Amino acid sequence: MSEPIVNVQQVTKTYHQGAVDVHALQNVSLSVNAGDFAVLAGPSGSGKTTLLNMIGALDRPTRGRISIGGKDAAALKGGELARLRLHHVGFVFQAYNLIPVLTAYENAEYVLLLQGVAASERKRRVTEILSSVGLEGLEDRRPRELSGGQQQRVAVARAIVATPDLVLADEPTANLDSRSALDLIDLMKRLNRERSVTFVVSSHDARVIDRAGRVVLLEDGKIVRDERQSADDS
Amino acid sequence: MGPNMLLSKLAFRNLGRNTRRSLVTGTALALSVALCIAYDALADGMNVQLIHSLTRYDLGHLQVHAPGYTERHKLANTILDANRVMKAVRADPEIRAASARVYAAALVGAGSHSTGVELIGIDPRTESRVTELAQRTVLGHFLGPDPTPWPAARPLTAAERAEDARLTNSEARAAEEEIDQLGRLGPGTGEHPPSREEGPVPQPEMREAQRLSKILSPRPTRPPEVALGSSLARVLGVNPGDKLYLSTQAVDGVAEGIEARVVGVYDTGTSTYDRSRIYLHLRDLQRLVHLGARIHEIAAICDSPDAAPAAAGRIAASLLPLKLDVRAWSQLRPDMVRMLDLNRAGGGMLAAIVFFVASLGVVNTMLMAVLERTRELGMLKALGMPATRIFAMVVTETALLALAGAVAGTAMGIGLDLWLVHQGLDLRAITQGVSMNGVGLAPVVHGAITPLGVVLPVVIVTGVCLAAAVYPAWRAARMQPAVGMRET
Amino acid sequence: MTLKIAWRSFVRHRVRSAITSLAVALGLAMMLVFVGFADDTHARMAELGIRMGSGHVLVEGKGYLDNQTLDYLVHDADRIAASAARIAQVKHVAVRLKTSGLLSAGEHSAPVLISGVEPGREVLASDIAGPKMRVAGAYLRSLDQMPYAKTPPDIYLGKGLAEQLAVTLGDRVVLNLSPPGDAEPTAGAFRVRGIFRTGVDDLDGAYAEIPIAAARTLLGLPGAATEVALLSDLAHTEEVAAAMKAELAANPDLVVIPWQVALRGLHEALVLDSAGMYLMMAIVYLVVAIGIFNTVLMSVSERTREFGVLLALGTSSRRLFAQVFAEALVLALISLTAGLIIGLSIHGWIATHGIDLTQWLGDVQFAGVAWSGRVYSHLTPQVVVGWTAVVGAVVLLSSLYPALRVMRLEPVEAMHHV
Repeated sequence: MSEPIVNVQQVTKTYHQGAVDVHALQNVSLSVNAGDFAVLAGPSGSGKTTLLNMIGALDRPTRGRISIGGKDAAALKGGELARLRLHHVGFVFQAYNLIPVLTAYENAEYVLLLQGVAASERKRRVTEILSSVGLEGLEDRRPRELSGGQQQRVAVARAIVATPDLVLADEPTANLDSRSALDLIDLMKRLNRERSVTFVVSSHDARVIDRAGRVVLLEDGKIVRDERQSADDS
Repeated sequence: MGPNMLLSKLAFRNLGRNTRRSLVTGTALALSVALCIAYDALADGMNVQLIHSLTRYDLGHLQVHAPGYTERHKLANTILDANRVMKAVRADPEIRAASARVYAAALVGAGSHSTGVELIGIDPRTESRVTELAQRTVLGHFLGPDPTPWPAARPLTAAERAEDARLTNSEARAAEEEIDQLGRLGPGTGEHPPSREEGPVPQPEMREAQRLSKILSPRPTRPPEVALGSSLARVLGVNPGDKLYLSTQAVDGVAEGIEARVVGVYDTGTSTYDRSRIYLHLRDLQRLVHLGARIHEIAAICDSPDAAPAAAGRIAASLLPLKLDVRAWSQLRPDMVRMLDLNRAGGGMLAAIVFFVASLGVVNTMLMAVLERTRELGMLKALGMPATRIFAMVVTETALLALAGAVAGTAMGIGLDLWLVHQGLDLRAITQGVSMNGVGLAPVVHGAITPLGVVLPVVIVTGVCLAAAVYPAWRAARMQPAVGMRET
Repeated sequence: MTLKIAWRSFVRHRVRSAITSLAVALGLAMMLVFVGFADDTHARMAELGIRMGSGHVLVEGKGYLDNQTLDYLVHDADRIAASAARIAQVKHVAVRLKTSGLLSAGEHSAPVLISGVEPGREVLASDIAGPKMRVAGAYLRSLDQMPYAKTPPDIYLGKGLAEQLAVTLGDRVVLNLSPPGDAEPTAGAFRVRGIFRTGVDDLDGAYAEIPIAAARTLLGLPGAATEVALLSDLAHTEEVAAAMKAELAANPDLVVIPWQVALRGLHEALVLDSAGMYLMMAIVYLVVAIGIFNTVLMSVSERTREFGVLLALGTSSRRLFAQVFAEALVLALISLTAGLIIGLSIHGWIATHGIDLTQWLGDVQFAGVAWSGRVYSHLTPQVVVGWTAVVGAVVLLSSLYPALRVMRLEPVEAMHHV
């Protein structure tokens, strides 16, 4: 349908831990298209986090090619990778997402500042995004004044405020209670639907996997299954 | 293993959890201790040197005078029964050596230069055991042990005495007149005062007076030996072997003069000693100023400067009912003692400031160590560990840190001290030598290690660290278990 | 944003930041107090020494400084004094003829350094001549002020000397001097006109002043002097010396020396004193630096995960360095401000009220200057700014290593930091 946003081609990643070699990814290939809501699933140690880091230009493959938004990530140096992330990728992490001394508004604003967006434009976009994730009225709260679920919403807001090519989420629901977890998944799905935000989520939470539009199952560093499914939108 | 042992083990392991942080804090403590020890050594070294300069070149550790001598230096104010006093001084168990001195003011001339000086008569044999002056000779050699041979005096016959009386009266009158004439010189006269030869005193009377004088106090067979300081030698332009002329007033008022021969030049670094003193043999000076066997001063040294005050007290007591002025160097120069105290106080002040600042670092470190273990501490409390135990644990950790720092610091400090003692601090870039209260300090200062200078910083740092531990330990003990176990 | 984060991170750990700032603030405050104190004391001591028979700038015969004999004279001293008086910044000029001799009275005698002075000028140039140090009688009269030629000229001597010779006001003393060249020793009678007490044993016990005309006559040296002293103030010493040198360019056998050379012992003692103080402060700052290093390192370390997130979001390493450095900057600004407030307040108090040290020190003689009474504090803007900058540099330099370390963080590793 559309141009793949991310193209992972025969990527291998090997870590050296002392005398032992750990093969985190072995000859993995994957394409993510615009509008996808893909979940990387698998037990711990399967390589899903490593794959996510690859896609997000947080790490470099030992072998193989990765292109993000049309750019070849493998050839880039540290500083250029950072710039790539800044303009093309949004992140939601499992924990320690937000900068503790900044308010919700400022946390969301941070990426726009890094990009050099003008003040008035920043204000417009941040206010809009915070209300769209349902945090209207809570802009001036610090992370410690927000619940876990609210903090993750801020993280999501921050991830999409700069309209990146895709948003990567690493176990976003792991530290949340049931209610907040479901709310977060619904939020992500809504954003995927209404704003065409592409999501790649790494999770072993069944509720997340059930609602995925595409599930990529990994085992021992290899993709064993990659299929689309009709998403459960309830 | 008992609870306290466990506590210490825990404390030790906790410090090891963040080795870099503990190491840096420990280093700060160690450096504080080391530098304070070194500074103390320097200050003590300066003091030792000052005391040495003061006592070993001239003063001695203790001095005996006739009452009132130190204020007025009257030539006639000599020590009564000098032999008995000397015996009493030497008998004291703390006294190592004693030496007698005689003082007189004089005018010294060499060639065309002349200046006022203080003549000091010493017995080189005994003096060399009391002062190190002889060792400071830079040119020639110091005074020889034997006095110059002087022919014996004989008393005047009755006829000579009558003649002497007559001459004295007429000379006194003439001298007064002459001096008043000199006073009348005003601006524009541009005249030299009349010298003795031109003056109103008739020549034959002068010669007769001199002849009689020579019977009473004959001249020595050869010029007496003198030693003088380098600055004085420079001013007069004399070297060993040169002659100079000493004019002074004897104790009976008679003007006396004598030619002397320079045998040695010394340098002590203290201007008073080097610029305005001339040393000669005790007997020579006694003869010159008609003092017979009388002396002005007995200087003595003890094994250490600190023994002097007690020794002075004992000697004074043993000589009662003779009322003599027996004083230790610290009593003769209280200004010096104050300066020494000031030097030491500087070290104390430094220690106070440095340790206070270092303790702030300790508070921060221990605070962090406590705060990052909130979960663990909450758990310990929930398991039933009493707050006092937790308090004790944090304090123990701090104490261990302090101990490590103190031990390392002491080792470093002593190392620095040894270097200071051996090499000394060379201040020649700044100064050629400084005088404090008139006492010279050489430009290379050597350290002196005293037990107090090493122990005191260690004691203080330990105390300070324990005080610094109180706040973090209190925070740890106060922590509610539930709060502690919740993830921050 | 960087500053916002820096400031708020500082405030977040109130106790820790306060403690660290306190260490720096105290370091700066102490420095200001000590330097103010030392500068004031040193300036006073220098002035004291200068105004006790010396000068800010001296004109002497070449070679006099090393030899101190009458073979090295300033001839035509009055003309030189006149041209010196014309130099701007010169407040007073004094002409002196100094030599050593023997003073006797009855059966007592003592060596003495005698200074032939011009009473009218000397009373302005030297404190010894002034009422503060005079304990009995009055100051010298110059010979043309003496009404009757029959009276011996005045002599003004120290208390210790007076006691040694057992003389008091009005008594007669005889001064024996030795003129230069092969001339015979001379003697002159003088009458004790006044007695002074400086507190310096060397002066009180072995120094006396007589009218210069009497000295010149006794020594057969009309119009001569051993020194022409220029009195100004410490700040203008260099200027005055340069101006005098220019004036005397045509006289190769005269030298112009500043007080630091003339009073070498005093100057070096003051330098030594300062050096000792700087050594102490260096030790204190070393410990402060280590403390800051540790604290900044600790605070950076505990935020490694936070930094990891920032890097993941696309913050460059350089920006991260700037972040940590900005926090050091905030620390520096806060603590320096606190230090300035504390330090300048104490300085202000001491400068107004002074501290009386006599109960601890009594009369101290240091390098030939007697020092007693109150001490104050003296700070110039340059000194304050200078030391503030030094302490600020210490803070920033101590934070440099931790700041550089964050540049090497990798986002993934950092986020998983324990």
